[in-house]
This record gives sequence, C-alpha cells and structure tokens, in this order.
Amino acid sequence: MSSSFSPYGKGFRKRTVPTKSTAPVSTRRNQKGMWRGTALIVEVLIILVVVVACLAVFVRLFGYAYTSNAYDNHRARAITLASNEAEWFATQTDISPGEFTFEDDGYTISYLIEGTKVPRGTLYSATIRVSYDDQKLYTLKTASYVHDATDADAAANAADGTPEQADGAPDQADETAAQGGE
Amino acid sequence: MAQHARKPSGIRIGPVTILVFVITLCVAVMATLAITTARANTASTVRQIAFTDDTYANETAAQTMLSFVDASLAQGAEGVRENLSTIQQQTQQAAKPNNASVSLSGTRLSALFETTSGRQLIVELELSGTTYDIVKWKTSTNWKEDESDTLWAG
Repeated sequence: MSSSFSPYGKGFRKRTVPTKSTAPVSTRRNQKGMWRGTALIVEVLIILVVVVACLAVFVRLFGYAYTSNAYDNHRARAITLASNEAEWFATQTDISPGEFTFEDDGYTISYLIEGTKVPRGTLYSATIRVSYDDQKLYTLKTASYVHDATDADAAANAADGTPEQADGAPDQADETAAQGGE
Repeated sequence: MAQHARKPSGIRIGPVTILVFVITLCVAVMATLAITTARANTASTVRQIAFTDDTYANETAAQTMLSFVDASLAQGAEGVRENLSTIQQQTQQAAKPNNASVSLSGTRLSALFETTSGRQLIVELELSGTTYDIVKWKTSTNWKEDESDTLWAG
C-alpha cells in the first residue's frame, strides 16, 4: 500500500492534539463536572445573600413609607377636625369655660376653654387637641370674644336710661355670618 | 467514530441571575417611589399645619383686638379714636410674633394681621354708637413667587 493513503480523504492531514494531562479522559470529565457544580452552588448562594440583603432594606423602606403615610394621613384628618371645631367655637355665644372631651370618627377631641374678663365682655381662648389611639396629633389654639351685655354694659345702659337691647351690642350671629361669608 | 453530544445542564444560572437582578431593580424603584411619596405627604402635612396655625393665630389676635375696640367703644367712636394708639399697641402685642396694624378712617376701623408666612386676615369694623358691625373678615395669603432653583423639595 502506498504511504500517502489517508482514510479522511486526499489532502487531509489528521491533526493530533497533544494532551497535557496524563489522567484518563473519564476522570477529567468528572473533575470538570464537580467544579461546575460547586461554582453553581457558590453563585446561587451569593445571589441569595444579595437578594436577602436587598429585601431586608426594601422591607424597611416600605415599612417606613407605610408608617409615615399613615401618620401623616391621621395628622391631616386631625387638622380638619380641629379646624371644624375652631369654627364651631367661633359661632358660640354661650361659652362655658372648662375642659371636656369627646370622640369623633375614632379621634379624641379635647377642649380646654378659658375665659378672661374684659371691660365689656369675655375673651375666651380655646385649646383644641386631637389625638388618635392616645397619640397626640395636633393642637390648635383660637379665641373668641363675646360681648357681655349683662355686666358693665347693662350698668351703663341703666345709667343712660337706654334699654339694654338698644345699646346695640354686636350681634355675634352677624359676626359669624360676616366671617363665614368672606 | 462516535461523537459526544453535549448534555444540556439542568439549571442555567445566567438567566436566573439576570431575572433576579431585574426584579431587585424593580423593587428598588418601587421603594424609592414609596419613600418619595411619603416625604411629599409629610411636607404637605407640615405646610397644612403651618397654614392652619397661622390662620388661627390671626383669628386670635383679631378677636383680642375686638375686645380692646369694644372696651373703648364704651365712650363711643371718639373713645376708639382717642385710644387708637393704645389699641394698636395692645393688638400688636397680642399678635406677636406676627404683625398687626390698626387704622381708623371716620367710623371705619380697619385692621390687617399678617403672619411671617404671608397669611393675612383683613378686618373692617363700622363703628356706630357704642357698638360695631363687622363689615369684612377676610383671610387671604400674600403669595410671593419662589424664584429659587429648587424644583421640588418633597
């Protein structure tokens, strides 16, 4: 037979790849598979650690946002309630100083009313506190002047001989209408 | 000669990593939006509190002024005219730390209460005899345009 014969065809030269390892092929394949399995586990563990850390941070952030929103919503509602009470207080002509508390829509509203006598009336100051679940949310201070026609004014009228009603004491209802109408 | 077919692996970590990364990124964006919304809500509530406080600070000062005016009205409108400077001082004292000014034109007494934030209460009283009528009780805000470069401070 001629020495130029090749089973791969004419002109094809079989290349021989030198192998560095002297281990059998089956052993090298097993080692490579074990290494790939270990790398996979390490990578999964790293991802798990990163994901758990991120989730921990995100849970804290979402928790803070939820708590903050709930608190602010309660405060906004408390402001509205306190304003409503202050407007109601401004319409009153028969005010009794003291302290009282009541519930409204789950909120606790407490009044502290103090009166200061002035020459022709009483200047009432009110401190309105709104709380929810024992948590103080908002405190509003306001005042209302009530002309007292029964004290010095009546005495002056009596001295002048003019009827009490003719003195023209400021009509609180008109004041209220004027305040509300503007 | 037998050829070795490549076996497909059960888990391909590459796509899983990318998927986890994308999900984490989405949750991070949502967390940022939640925090931003919460801060904006807080800022809005703080502004509402300041607004309401200023409104009723003016209201309190105005009611105090009414008591001073009414006391001076025992001598009629002339009593108010004579005591106007005293009423002005007492009203300013009651309005502290905000501003208050009282003026009298004929029988029309005007008062302006203004907080440092620009919240105003304008009051006008018509003096008649020993009493008065409230002809104006108007709250407003002296708005000043913010010319700073801050687009949003939520």
